[in-house]
Amino acid sequence: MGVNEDNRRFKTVSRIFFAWQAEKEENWLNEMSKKGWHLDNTGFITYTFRKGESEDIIYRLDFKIIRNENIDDYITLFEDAGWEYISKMGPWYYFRTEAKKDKNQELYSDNTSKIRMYNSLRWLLIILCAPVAYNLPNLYRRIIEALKGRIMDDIPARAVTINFTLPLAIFLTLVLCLMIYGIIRVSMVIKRMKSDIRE
Amino acid sequence: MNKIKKLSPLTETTFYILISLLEPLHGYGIMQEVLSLSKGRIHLGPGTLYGALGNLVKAGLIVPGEYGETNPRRKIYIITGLGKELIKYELLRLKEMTQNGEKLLHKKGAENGSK
Repeated sequence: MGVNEDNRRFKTVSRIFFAWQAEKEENWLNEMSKKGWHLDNTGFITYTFRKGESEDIIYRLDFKIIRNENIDDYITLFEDAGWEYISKMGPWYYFRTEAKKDKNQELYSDNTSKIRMYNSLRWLLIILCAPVAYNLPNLYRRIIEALKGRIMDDIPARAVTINFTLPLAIFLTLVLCLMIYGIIRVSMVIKRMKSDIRE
Repeated sequence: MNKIKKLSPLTETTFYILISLLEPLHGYGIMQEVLSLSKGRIHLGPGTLYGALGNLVKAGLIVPGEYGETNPRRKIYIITGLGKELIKYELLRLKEMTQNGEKLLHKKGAENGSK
């Protein structure tokens, strides 16, 4: 009975990995499995683990934007190839398999296709950036106008500017910086892969 | 013909996927076929294969369809006419490459090669 209870033990860990840190995340999950904590489910920034035996498990993340009707076919292909599907978090799909010596255990067997994956990730980041970058100048213009005193007599408008528009502008600026940093990091990964001329 | 020239040269992986689809196969069937054709040398990753299949469908070289597969979760693919034309074109190109390589190696490699 005690053993069964042990097997049913779960724990949830919060940890943030950014889009360009997939390899770091995979290694972390591998370390967790070695400690007997096996990934059970993923949330926005949370990971649920199930307690079990210590095992050497290889985790791999795939980035894929895919239509709902194709998900079954996609996952079945990975399962046929010996990968267990765990969960998905947005466009990230989590797979795992037992580590085996002298066996190629990658989702991508050539550089070209791996570069394609990172390219689509970069495109997604660029597309998400666009509306933020487009709206920010407008926000700042309004704030500057307010600070210049044009609407300082208008108390409600001033309150909206100070309490809402300004924090929003600062937040969106930080988000934009992070995304641009992400695009640069992903581009660096792509560049590193392209310098390897093998297909 | 122009379209074929644009698609050439194929990568080794793409070439093997295409020739394995001269008969209808699902994804895992392709992996096994390519592995056996290349005598264990080419081990296709599922991410690579899934992406390649999407690109080949988009290029009109293969089509998904119903070919009596019992499990509806697996898509089956087969090569198209354009795909076959491309293979023929690639075979001529590869033959030219090997012939030229052998010819020049035989003529010049023998002189300045090994001492």
